[in-house]
Amino acid sequence: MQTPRKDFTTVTLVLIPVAIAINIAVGQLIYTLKIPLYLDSIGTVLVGVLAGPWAGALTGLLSNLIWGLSGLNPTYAPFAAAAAAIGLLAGLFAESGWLRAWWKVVLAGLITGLVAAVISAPIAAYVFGGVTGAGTDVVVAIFRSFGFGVLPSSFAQGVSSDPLDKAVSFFIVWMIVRALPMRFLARFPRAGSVK
Amino acid sequence: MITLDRVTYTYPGSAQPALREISLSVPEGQFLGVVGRNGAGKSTLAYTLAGFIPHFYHGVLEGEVIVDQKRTQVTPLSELVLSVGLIYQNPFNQISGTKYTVREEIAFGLENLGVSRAEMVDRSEAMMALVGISDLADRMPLSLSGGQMQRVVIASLLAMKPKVLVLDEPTSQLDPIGSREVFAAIRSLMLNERMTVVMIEH
Amino acid sequence: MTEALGLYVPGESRVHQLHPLTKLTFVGFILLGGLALPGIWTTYALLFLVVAPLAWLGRVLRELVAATWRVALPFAISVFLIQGFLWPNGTPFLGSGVISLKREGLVFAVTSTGRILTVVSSFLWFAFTTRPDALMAALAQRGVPASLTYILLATLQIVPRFRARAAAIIDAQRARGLETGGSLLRRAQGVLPLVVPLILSSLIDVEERALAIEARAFNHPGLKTSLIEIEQAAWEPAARWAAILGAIGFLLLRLWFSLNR
Repeated sequence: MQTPRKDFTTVTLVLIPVAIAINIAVGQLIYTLKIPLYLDSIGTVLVGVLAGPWAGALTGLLSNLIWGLSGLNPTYAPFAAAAAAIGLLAGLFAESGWLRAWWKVVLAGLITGLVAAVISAPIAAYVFGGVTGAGTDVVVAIFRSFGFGVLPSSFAQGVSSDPLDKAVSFFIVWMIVRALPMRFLARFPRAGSVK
Repeated sequence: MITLDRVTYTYPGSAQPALREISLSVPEGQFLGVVGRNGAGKSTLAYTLAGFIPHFYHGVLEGEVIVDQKRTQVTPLSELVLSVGLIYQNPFNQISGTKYTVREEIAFGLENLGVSRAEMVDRSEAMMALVGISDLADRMPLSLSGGQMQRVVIASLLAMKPKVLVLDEPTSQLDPIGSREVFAAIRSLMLNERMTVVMIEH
Repeated sequence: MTEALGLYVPGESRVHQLHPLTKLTFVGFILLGGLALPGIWTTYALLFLVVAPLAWLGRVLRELVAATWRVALPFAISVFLIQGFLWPNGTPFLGSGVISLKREGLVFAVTSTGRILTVVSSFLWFAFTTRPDALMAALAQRGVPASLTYILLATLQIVPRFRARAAAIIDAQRARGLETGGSLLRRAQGVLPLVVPLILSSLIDVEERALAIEARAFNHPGLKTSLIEIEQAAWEPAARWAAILGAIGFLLLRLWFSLNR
């Protein structure tokens, strides 16, 4: 008695809200502690690794939409596409066995962050005029003062923060999954990709 | 109502079986109490009776498990849950997490079963009265104490009118009065509806 | 209701009684107007002529203004300063030389801020006047899968609990002087041993929670019914169509405008 899409079991379904909550709570915690990272995609990456790319993409998408539309931080909502890409890539990297060695994990995170920056830049440029009210707007300011356009400046902002942030996020997820008991991981069809 | 014939079960990835050649039989409307020390396999037995073993937990299940004339190994889980209600220790993990009032929480299972609105209203009210939580009807489930929440969980499962109720250490969160009301509710259902009950305690 | 992550402000206004999907189409209308219409001041026109009256009808005007302002202010300051002062090769508007507000930058900032205000205020208006479970029930009626409404509702209830636990961690750090003081490494080292168990335990719980909804027949095949009833006035379907057509109209206007530049 399998569900039609094997990845999307009841456990995956229940995991997603928890993952979104992890995104939001940890993201806000890091912000309050003034640690210069976002770390707002840990849940998304986790779902991608445990339940596959599509579940990861859905988690990222919904995470940003809920974060934004619930009023917590509306600037997150337009970046839902980038967040979905993060979940998707996390799942794809896990599927391809990238998560078996720590340095591959970090590399996967860097690449994912780069992709996220590429997707985010046009969104930031069009919707927000290049600035989001975050601390990293300084990068935008610097590039603008050198005469760069809005889009390249937004891209510079993304590249200066996203790859590092996602590399750290991937690493944290890798540590978490390795710490989870095997009995729990057996619930997930993709668990074999990390251990 | 319940028949286990030489049931042996091993969790996935485990070397030792959690259940070894268990055989038992419970007629309809009877009460079976199960006690044992930690790690003896009591919860495993509960999951097996409810069909979550093997459908949710997978692993290797040998022997015959027949509940409400259904062989659990070959009957889909969605059908088994209609016959067996399972209640376990932690109430926070048993509420749906999607309802804003106790009344709606109790009706959650009935909504999934496609029960008519009129009947849902009736059953919800009846169960709240039976378990003694009518005063909590408009409260938000997540805001309740552990004991109150556990009673909501029990009412929610009883509302689905299972033939068999399996309770795995259900009273750890309940105070004496709450426990008494819950047991009275269960006893009344055993009498009126011939519900079969298996209760596991420490 | 304040216990959930929702901004819902309980009330009995005409707006509160509207069907959730009707309000959603209104938001779509305002949103598309704000994002698609050309011109610097169109968004502000929308704000004053559409959003404000809707908020007043819902008796949430004061909350809306406060919340929108609180959210949009950091963004507005940032965009005015950065784009205003640093617009390359811009025509000075105020001041002179390098330290001057460029006209193009100001225009950009005003337009962007207008867009943000429109987007934020329309969503907040919706959130203030709509119960999340009413919205989900309305969507489920329209065929949105139960798995999606489950995810959305469960998230809305879980997130505040998580944030409370995260806040407890922050308090603990503050007591140790590590909230914003202390070196970066110490702050990170202090918080990691608290955050990881939080994440691990919440993940372990997932198994029992999945079991619980299975036990409540969540995967039962067939149509699900709903305990709560959503009502709508007779004129609402027509209003929904008007809003949708209006939104499409805005898009077409924008297209026409771009093509005839």
